[in-house]
Order: sequence, then structure tokens, then C-alpha cells
Amino acid sequence: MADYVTTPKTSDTIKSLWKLEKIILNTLDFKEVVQKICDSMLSELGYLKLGYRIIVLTLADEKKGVLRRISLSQTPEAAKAQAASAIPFHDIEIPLNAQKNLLIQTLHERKPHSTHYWPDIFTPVLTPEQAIANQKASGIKTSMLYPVTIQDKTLGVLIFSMVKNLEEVSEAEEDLIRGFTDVVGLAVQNAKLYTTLSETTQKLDKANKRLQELDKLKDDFVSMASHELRTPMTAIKSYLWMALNKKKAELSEDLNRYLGRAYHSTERLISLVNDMLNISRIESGRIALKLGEVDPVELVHEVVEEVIPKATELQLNVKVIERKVSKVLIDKDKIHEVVINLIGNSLKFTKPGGTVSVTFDEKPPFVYISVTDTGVGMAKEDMQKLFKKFSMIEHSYTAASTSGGTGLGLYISKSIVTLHKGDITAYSPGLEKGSTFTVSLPITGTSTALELQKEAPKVTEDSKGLEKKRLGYI
Amino acid sequence: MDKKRILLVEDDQYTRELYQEVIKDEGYFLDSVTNGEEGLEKIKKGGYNLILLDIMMPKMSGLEVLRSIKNEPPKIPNGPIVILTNLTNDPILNEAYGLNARDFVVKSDITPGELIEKIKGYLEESGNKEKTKQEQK
Repeated sequence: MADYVTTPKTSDTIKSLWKLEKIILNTLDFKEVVQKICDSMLSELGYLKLGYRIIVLTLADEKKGVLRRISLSQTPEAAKAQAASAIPFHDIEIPLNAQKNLLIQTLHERKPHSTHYWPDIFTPVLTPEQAIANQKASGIKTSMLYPVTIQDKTLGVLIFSMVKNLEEVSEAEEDLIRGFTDVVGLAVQNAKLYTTLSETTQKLDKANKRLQELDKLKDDFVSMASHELRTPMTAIKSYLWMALNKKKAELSEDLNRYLGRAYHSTERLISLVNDMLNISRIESGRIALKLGEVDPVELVHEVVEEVIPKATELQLNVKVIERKVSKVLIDKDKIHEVVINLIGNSLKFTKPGGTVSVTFDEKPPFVYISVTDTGVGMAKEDMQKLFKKFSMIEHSYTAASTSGGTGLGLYISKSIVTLHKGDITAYSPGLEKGSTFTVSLPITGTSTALELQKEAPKVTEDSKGLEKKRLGYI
Repeated sequence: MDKKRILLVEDDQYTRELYQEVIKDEGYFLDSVTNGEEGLEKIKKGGYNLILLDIMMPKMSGLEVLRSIKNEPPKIPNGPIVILTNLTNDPILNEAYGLNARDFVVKSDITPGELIEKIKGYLEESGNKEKTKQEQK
């Protein structure tokens, strides 16, 4: 007597498929999906009773050019076949060009096949004798091979092995198997995509972490390098200062000039180190803003008070043309540096007797602070270059050689103001006609200020302040 | 009047010798040592009106010196401790303030002349505090 029954009710087929779909498509992990594919039909749908014993999923590995067993149902027959096999199942790889192999034919023709003779599906990896031994151990009579496809791609082959003859397979069984194979195609594709996606996500996560580490390393390095640079520069600067100021011996006019220029250049070098540190901090996002409500007029007065001695020395007038304007939401120390930089620039590029004036304007959401001078001005085409790193415009606001600038001040200022959601613009009517630099800062309570409050870089363990501008060195 | 006593803890020889020269030229009494360990020994003995302390030094860093003093203050007290460094790192700066440093001076940003002005300021400030304390007594 056969140890199986025949024919499930056709009406059950759709219900059964739906059940399988639910089981398989609910899982995304690749390993879990492929195992469920091989087990669910036998256990959940009771196909064991119908004589089905082993379900094997094989998938094509295009890169290696082989068809490989991916999963195998967990049944006693499968275990027996495995135990009898000369080569462990998971090591069996069938070349995609093995034309005589029935699995490969199924794959290429995209059509189901069946066999009573296992050498058909194990050639050329196992000898006919070895394949027959496996089949005997398992007690399988027939294996049906179904291509697993998705759209126009064939992913692999499903093997349904049973202890009955092909003639005993009902139409309903065949329907279910066909439907099941389609679901498997979808499930395998999904699981593959999901696995690729999570692998990519993991890789990206890793790369991102590494970048953060590198950024920190770079920052630490710049920090250490600037410390190491400053130590000898401090010595050079200080000893030159001694020579120039302690007057332990009378210096000749020439010597005084030589040492003076050496001193000046050291100051420039120190400024450059400070500016590079600032840029490193700004660009790695380690500059935090400590926002507060500030009266722009008051802030400008504080800056002007600081620069008056230098302006007097250069025989320049500094005027503040006051006007009542709204308070702005800013990091006071940082905008202080920006305003010092702008006024300092104007002092640097204006001849004795000239004037630097600061004016205010308001057009919500911004207050505008403008620094206007009667200095060298600039050509139109140079105006955009101003805010670039190391931009050097002849005779102009970023020139480094004789002016002693670093070529970085305006870039840093613009970066800081941009962090505040404001902007710096430059305007000049032309060479020798002076120029105007205008900073816009968000008015407290405006939507721009609220956005700033939300988005401004917050103080963290990593955040750093700005290096201060040396006033003696404008 | 007694000479004010200043302690300089600085490992870089050129910087140390230069500061020695300008400080002594001003008529102060100066002790100078080349690392944090020696610095801590001197500080423990107490009696300085002002201490100028570098951060990055061999054997013991300035921060470690500050920590050690905070945990175990010297029996004979000293004047203010000012960090004199070329490090400009906010976390270190904040920690130094947390450990009772009076100020944080970046060496490359000042001239020897400005250092002397600062020293005068610190000494005057702590002298005034002393006075108020004595008057209160």
C-alpha cells in the first residue's frame, strides 16, 4: 500500500498558495526565506502526505558560472540522501554550461522537467553510481524540476522529489507547484534585494564612521601641528621683539628695518596658523554658535573702541553713523571677529587721511551693517574672488604681500556669517574709489532667527572657538 | 617692599630663557623649572605671588599639575595660576578654568612687553584681594 494519498481538493489550491505566500513573503532575511521555501510546502500544507519528501532550492551564481544548492528541506529522506552522498550537498556546484545536466536544461529552457534517474541532475559532479546510491538511500522515485523565474530572469531551479510516479501527480498539485514556484521567484528576489540593501547600508555606515574618525584625526593633527608651529614662532617673534624694543644696543637704520620686517613676517605666519586652524574647525563643523540677543550698534562701538589706537596710528578716521535698529540673534564673540576683520581690512587698504565709516540699515529679517572706506577699491571682476580661500587680488582687500593679510580673513568671515544664515557682500565703484562691505544678521524673533536657533551648530565636547584676530596686526 | 615671587613652568628652553630675562628685568624674583613634575614640587612649597604654567610638557602636563593641586591644595597658599601655552583647544581651556586657572594666555599672540603688562595686572589684582581680606579681618 502506498504511504500517501492522492489529489488535494482543487478549491484548496488558492487558499494554500495564499498561505505559502504569507509565510514566505513575510520574511526578508535571505537565509530564513530560502529555508522556509523548502519546508513550508511539506510541513504547513501537508504535502508529505501526498508523497513529497525533499524540496531543494538551487540558484544560479552568474559570477562563478555555477548552479548551487541553497537550501534543502529538513526531512528524514533528505538527511539519508545527504549522508549517502560522496560529496556533501553544499559543495556540489554544477557548471552553468553542463548541457547534459537536467537542472541546467531546466534553467536555460525555462521549462519544467522530471526524472526518475538522479544521475540526470548530478552529472557531471557525481558519477552515475554515486548519484544512484544517493537516490536509493533517499527512496525517491521521481524528481520534478521547476525553473524559478522573475520577469525575464531565471534565478534557479526548484526540485520537488517524491516517493511516487509522475503519473500520480494531480492537476491541482501541479497548479500549486507552479504557483508556488512563482512566489519563490518573488521571495528570492526580495530577499536578495533586501540583503544587498542592508549590506550596502552597513558599508555606508562603516564608511561614514571612518570618515568621521578621519575628520577628527585631521582636526587633532591640525591642532597639534599648529601648537608645534607656534612654539618656534613664539621664540622668533619674542626675540625679534626684544631686539627691536629692549634697545640693549643701538640698531642701525638698516638693521632696524631688517628686524622689523622679520618681526612683521612672523606675525603674518602666526596669523596664518590661526586662520588655518579656524578654517579646519569651520569646515569640519566644530564651530558651535553661542547665540544671544545683541544690539548691533553696541557691538560696533565695542569693535571701534578696540581699533581706534590702530586707526590713529595710521592717521585714519573711524566714524559710526548710528541709527536705531532691531536686536540681532548672533554669537557675539564670533560676529565681533567678523566686524573687526572688515574694519581692519578697510584700515589696511585706505591711505592716511582717509575715512572708514560704519552705517546701519534694517529690512526684516535682517539688520545690515556696512563698512565703507575711501580706500583702494577694486575692479568689478575681482569682487567675486574676494571671499575665496587664499584669493589675492592685486592692490586689494585680500592682497597678502605688503598688506600682511593671510588671504583667509574674508573667507572665514563669510563662513561665520553664513552659519548665522546671513551674508557678506562687497561693492566698489571701481579702483581707487573705496568700497563697502555689508554684513546681514538675522533680527531676533524673525522666522530666520528661529530657524537659526533650531539649526545652529550646538556646543558639544568637540566644538571649539575661533582664534582671535591680533589687533596690533591690522 | 618684598620682591614679588613668580614661578615659571615652561619646557621650551628659548621661550623659558626669554621670559626669565624680561621678568627678572622688571625686578621680580623668579624661579623657573622645565617640567610639570618639578613645577608641582615648587608649587607645593607655596608662597608664590603668581604662577605661569605651560600645558604641554614632559613628565607631567599643566592640566595634571592643576588637578593635583586641586585635590591637595598646598599648605602655604600661592597667588593665581595663569596658563601660558600655545594650545588653543576649547576643551582643554575649559578644563583649565574648571581647575581654578585664573587666565589662559596664548604665547604666540603676545609680545614679551604684553606679557609683562599682564603679569603686572595679575599681581595687582591678587594684591588688592589680599588687602581686602586683611581689612575684613
